[in-house]
Amino acid sequence: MKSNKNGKASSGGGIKDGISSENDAVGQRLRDFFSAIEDEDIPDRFLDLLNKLDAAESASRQLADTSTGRGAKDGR
Amino acid sequence: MADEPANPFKREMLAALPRLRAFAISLCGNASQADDLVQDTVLKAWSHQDQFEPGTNMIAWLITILRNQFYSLMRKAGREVQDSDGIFTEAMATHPAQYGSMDMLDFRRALNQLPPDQREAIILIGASGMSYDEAAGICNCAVGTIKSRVNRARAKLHELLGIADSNDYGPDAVSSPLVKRAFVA
Repeated sequence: MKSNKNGKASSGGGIKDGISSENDAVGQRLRDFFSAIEDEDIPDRFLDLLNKLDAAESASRQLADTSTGRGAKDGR
Repeated sequence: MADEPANPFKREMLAALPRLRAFAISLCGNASQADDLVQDTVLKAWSHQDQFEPGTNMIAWLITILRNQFYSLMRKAGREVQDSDGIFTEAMATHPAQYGSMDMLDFRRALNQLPPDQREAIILIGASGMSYDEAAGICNCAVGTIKSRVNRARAKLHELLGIADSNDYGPDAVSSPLVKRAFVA
């Protein structure tokens, strides 16, 4: 995903991310802090929300397909 | 546990949620406000999904949306969202297990003392896995600006956390000359 590692505004040459250097204590603590949050379960409210949005979208798509006579669509 | 969603947009969004949420909590320092921001972001992203280019970085796109919401809320409130004991206590109560250690609490408090622009820069580069380019795109500023914010944030965190000044500031081939130039200029 991280395709563009080299800043185009910078003068080329491998950018060394100072923060991720092994002996950077601040960087390490930041990563620990961040990943502790990241590792939490996603709250149900977001899963519910996405399910609702998805269901509403499929329903309206189905309705649109039916009304334009395009018939059944893929999957569910 | 949930079955694999058929909708690829939904699937990518689900995969991005933990990181988006960690970004939100780190940025605003308040778990419940952060979750409101995440919810608004999910809704906004969903209704604008035609603007997302498949194959590009979904998390960067979501973070951009969330960040804009955050700053527009801050502007509306007419004040900066800063650390306070109330926020701090609330976070402890919400996440006793994760934030229970003194290290985590100290770190969180220090992070919240940074100006938001420095805080987001160091979170994006140091924890969220964004490149300098991506971070500059998200924050709508130059790559050099991100670098100098990251360096200032790092220096301030060192100071706040009282981390002994060994060789912690490993020379950064690219950003330290930039910073020096910025300070001299």
